Amino acid sequence: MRLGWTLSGAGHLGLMLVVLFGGLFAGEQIPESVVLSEVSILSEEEFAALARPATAPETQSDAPQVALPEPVQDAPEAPAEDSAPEVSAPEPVEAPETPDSPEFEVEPPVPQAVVVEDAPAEPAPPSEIDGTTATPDQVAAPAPRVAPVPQVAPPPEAEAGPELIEDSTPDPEAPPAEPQEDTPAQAPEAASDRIVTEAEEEKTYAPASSKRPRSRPARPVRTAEPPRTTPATDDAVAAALAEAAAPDPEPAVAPGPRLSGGQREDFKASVQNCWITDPGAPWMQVVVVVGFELDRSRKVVGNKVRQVSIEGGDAAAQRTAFEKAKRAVLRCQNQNGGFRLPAESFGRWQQVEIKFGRGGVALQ
Amino acid sequence: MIKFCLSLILALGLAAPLTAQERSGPLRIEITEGVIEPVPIAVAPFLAENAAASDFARRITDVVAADLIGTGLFRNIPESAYISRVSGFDAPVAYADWRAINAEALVVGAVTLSSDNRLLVKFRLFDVFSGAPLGEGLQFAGSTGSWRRVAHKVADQVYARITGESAYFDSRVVYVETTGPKNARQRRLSIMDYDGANVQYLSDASSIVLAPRFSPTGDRVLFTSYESGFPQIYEIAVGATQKRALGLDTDSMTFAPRYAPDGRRVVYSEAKGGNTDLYLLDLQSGKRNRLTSAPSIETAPDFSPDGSQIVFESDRSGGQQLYIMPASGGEPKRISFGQGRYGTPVWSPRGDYIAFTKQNAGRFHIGVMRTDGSAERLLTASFLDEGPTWAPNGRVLMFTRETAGSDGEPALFSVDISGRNLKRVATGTAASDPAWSPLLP
Amino acid sequence: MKIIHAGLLIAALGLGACTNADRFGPGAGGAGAGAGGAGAPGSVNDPTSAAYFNATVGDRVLFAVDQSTLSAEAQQVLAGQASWLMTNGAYTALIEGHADEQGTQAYNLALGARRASAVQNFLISQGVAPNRLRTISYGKERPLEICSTEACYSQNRRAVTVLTAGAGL
Repeated sequence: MRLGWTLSGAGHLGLMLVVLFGGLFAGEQIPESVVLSEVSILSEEEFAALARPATAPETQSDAPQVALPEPVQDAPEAPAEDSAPEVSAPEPVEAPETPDSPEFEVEPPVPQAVVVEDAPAEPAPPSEIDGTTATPDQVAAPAPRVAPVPQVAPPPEAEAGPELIEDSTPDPEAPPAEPQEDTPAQAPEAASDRIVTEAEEEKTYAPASSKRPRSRPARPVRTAEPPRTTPATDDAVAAALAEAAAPDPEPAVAPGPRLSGGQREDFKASVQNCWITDPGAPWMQVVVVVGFELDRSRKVVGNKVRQVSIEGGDAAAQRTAFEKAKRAVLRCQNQNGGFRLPAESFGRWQQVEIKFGRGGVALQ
Repeated sequence: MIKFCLSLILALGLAAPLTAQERSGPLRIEITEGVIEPVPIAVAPFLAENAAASDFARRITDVVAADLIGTGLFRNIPESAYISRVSGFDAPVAYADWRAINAEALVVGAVTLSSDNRLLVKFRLFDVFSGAPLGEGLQFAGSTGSWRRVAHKVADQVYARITGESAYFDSRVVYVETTGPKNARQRRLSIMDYDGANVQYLSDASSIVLAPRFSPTGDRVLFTSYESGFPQIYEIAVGATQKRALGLDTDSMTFAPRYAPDGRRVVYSEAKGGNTDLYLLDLQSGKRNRLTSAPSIETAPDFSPDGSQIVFESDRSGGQQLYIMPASGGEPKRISFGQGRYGTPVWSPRGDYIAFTKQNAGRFHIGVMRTDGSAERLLTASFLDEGPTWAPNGRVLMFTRETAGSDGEPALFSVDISGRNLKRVATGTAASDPAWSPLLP
Repeated sequence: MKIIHAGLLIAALGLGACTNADRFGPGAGGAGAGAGGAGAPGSVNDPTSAAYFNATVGDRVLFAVDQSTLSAEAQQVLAGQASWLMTNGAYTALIEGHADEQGTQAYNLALGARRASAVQNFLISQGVAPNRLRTISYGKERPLEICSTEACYSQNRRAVTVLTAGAGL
């Protein structure tokens, strides 16, 4: 670990020098030069901000992707709702007191440059949905049951592009601010020893409230003058790191010392804490194995998490199970500024496969 | 150029000397326990695309958020924690900012109020950690009076896309509103949105009404009323005021009706000469079939979602237990074997579970078991919990919880089938006998 | 069990009668409404009145938990009812079956029907014409006593014979 930090620290210092000077010298040639100019006025804070990650390996960037709208999916476009046959205008003659007139058109508008693979039977063209209950007496006509809405294709795979992996600096207030109202309500109810679920709940409650690692003293995520000025640097740093790291994997890596039991457990625990499960959901019956590659900074290379194998559940459940697992991995690396793994054993954890779930009957 | 330099330095600094050696296999770990906590999401305040829509935008945002949070599966990150605002419906999403506050999903919406007073509500959902939209954007249109339904529809979409399960927010619940003391209770047939809003009455409080049930399409309701002085089954169209008696025997009690999944037949109980059995009525032809003929009590029937079987309770073994038989009648098979008494079985719309009321050792429970009777789990415990009904997606149960004592009164509660998220449904008055509608069209 | 016994006794003595006897059931309209002076027709002291039936003969019997069998005490009360009914042929009766709140709704309706039917059958066996007797069940919807202890439950597990003036049903 310490070795890693030292190296990383050294690397970062070097980096900064290079950024500073190299930037000045090489500026003209580089497209990013615009950004680099900002770097030349690194403030104390910013410097600190840059340096800090040295402890937690590298690239802390705030990558405000907003700035350069990378190929954002949602190419703005005019909502095409007009094209939608607006069939069901008739105000449903609801009961006297009914305030709502449940007639809807679901329009598949909001066109969006989403690359929907295997788009299922296109978003049910405004299959005009008429009111649930049109006229009071119209009992017989079973209201056309339109699927609530066109269900859209599964979320795209984890090709989260080359976007930066920024250190998450978990939100300082979100966790406390939302007291998760239900929990207290359940607790009292769960007070019977006769109930299976209640026993179960005993167990689950505790973690429920404390799980989210209150990572790092809530330091202001972004204050008045946030490190907004540095992203370019970080970009460069990250890119460089990626490049630097990339060659490594190819040539065989010395595996380094085996992970100790404790180290394995620590890693496991860190992922476990990010895997949000839902005992009531069908996807809990799925067992999915995901694989990914880590770089030396202990982050997922390219944010790519692949499905190695999957079993149990139906297609929808499998899709969700994989998404949940993927999210656990990606979220975790962010929360912890990279997984907790010993640098010297890089070769042992460069490739990771994690099996999520235990299968069997959900809820048991 | 600069990158090259950086790489070089890093390569030197970080990538310590490597000996050529074969790589070890992947690090493999197995995780069977995760955390059970609400998934943090950000329901960004819906944008009002014109001034007239701003009030609706706010209210719709609130309902969408309330729907999602109400499941116990999500936590809405407060706006005050946002790093970036949603500046426009089509503005690019700063994923990093949402990731930084740990939002797994981001909901962006916009509301327009057209000159003819119609609401247009569109939304997009983003998977923050994957940095990509989750499904397509969608738009709903409706009258201003239906703004809640529009909001529920948006929430249904969000829920379905994130969880991979269908949702249940745009649904209604028929129930009995109760007032007055225990020994002179007035009961009134009522319908509300699943969250307690938009209450509407189907009857006055002049006679006892019991156990209303929605038709599979949600447009009709069966219930038992003492209006004639005698308990009989009636059917009423939602939104109508005129009910009709099913025209069964007028000299024997009929009760506990339920529609078959085809909506054309009704299974119910009839007590003749003190003996209660199950019957099947064809609504069109009026033809009746007796399904059971035992000296024991057979009641509280419910169809399997595919219509092929009926689950019911019977005390033929000496105490109330659950049985399943073919929908055409035939030899029942007992499925409950635990301690205590089992009643009011209801088949999950998913088909996988049967929910029931269990009475044991002086307490009442709502529980679920697999359709073969295995994997019984009790979800609640109280002085009196009774009569579960499934949310359209088979994920949540609503039921009646009555408090003890002379001032005891019933209320509606809901609980996730995991046994979590138990809470009272916000009815304005005391209430009982809930039955959930299917997801509305 | 003791409490139940006490209840049965009270019923047998006719003391359990009936402040609330005619609260329920539309059929109860003609019953014992009068509260006239002693000995007046229709009063408790008029042996042909519904009020007398309710107060002296005893209009109800109680049941054990989840049971519809008639105890000896209950049978005694019902025998009294039967002979009164046979003497006062102008009345018909609606027998209400009730259950305590410790049960599920539909089951309790069925249980109440059983109880009412048990009473009906007994009365018929004693010679009351079947066409003078109807039954109805209120399940747990109309408790008499509202506490949530056995003291109240035992009073609520009942079958009440509600008289209606006028022959035949």
